[in-house]
Amino acid sequence: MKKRLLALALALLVMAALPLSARADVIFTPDDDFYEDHYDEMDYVNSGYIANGPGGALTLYESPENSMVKGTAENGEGVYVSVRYTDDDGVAWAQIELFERALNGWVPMDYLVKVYNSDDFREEFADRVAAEEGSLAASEQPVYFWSYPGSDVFQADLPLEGDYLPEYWEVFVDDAGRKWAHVGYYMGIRNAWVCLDAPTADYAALYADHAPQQVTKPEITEPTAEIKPGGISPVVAIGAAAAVAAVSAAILVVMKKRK
Amino acid sequence: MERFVISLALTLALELPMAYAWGLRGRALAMAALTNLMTNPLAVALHLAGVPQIPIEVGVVLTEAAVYRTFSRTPGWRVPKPVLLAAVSNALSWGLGLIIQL
Repeated sequence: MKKRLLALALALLVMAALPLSARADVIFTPDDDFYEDHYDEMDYVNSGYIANGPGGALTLYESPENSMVKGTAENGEGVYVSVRYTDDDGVAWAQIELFERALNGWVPMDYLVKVYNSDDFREEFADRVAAEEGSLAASEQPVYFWSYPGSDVFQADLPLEGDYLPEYWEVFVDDAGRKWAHVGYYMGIRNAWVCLDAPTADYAALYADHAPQQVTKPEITEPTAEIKPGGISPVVAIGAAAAVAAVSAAILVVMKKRK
Repeated sequence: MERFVISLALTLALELPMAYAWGLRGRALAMAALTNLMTNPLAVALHLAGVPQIPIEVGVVLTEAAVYRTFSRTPGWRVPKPVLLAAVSNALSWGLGLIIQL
């Protein structure tokens, strides 16, 4: 009997040590207790944002219900938002990742500014994006995969070799007359644009003065209102729990003394 | 607050019948309930504050084992195999918690 119980206890210990975050192997899922507990209430976001908190920085909290501070990000720092959660007061919270610093946490969605990306570009220039199929030519020189035509951000620059070359189904012609191809997916690169007329040209080579077409980026104004997670502060919770423990211990001492 | 109440209720619902099956009766069961009241809310609060679960659980088992052992050595109290009782009952309630989370 004892051996069976010990075996059960050991099995449970091993189960508990296993990581629980691998819900899917296709999309990123955060390794986060609050996410696990509220999995059904999460909205998938999967997008880049810029930190824009009050007082020049973004405070990362343990969860929308736990005000323990995990770290900060300076305004202007790029963050990745995996999921969004809306609390009972209607406040939207974002689970953010700062991969370079191995830091993650929860911040109010209002303290984030969306990074203008390929989807925004396609929406803004929908009337100039045309259907056209093709595949990129092989290149020994690195080919730039830009966030969108005119962006100074590229996802990757790599030579194109072998039988499997990037395919595209949409093109865009910029104001300088250069044709751009939209690549949906290639070797982990998603939703990127390649300049078909100058695929290996960097930003300086593409735009001597400035990008030929201007995109509409939101104006960033620093928020003033302070939004904090609801629930009990961890310090207060620990204090209250310690008081309960102390009272329980005192009663136990009394019980032990009474024979 | 809700998390504290649910956690304590589930722990007591599992560990008290476990203690009864272990042979604890009457005031010994009350002692086991008080021991859980001493450790469970503090464990939940520490976890909410970001302390990893395994060290917390180890601390809970050691604390409860120490209390049970103290009472087992006191005349008039019957708490058989106190350390094993603490280890098994906490492993069961922890396991139940994991299953609920999944």
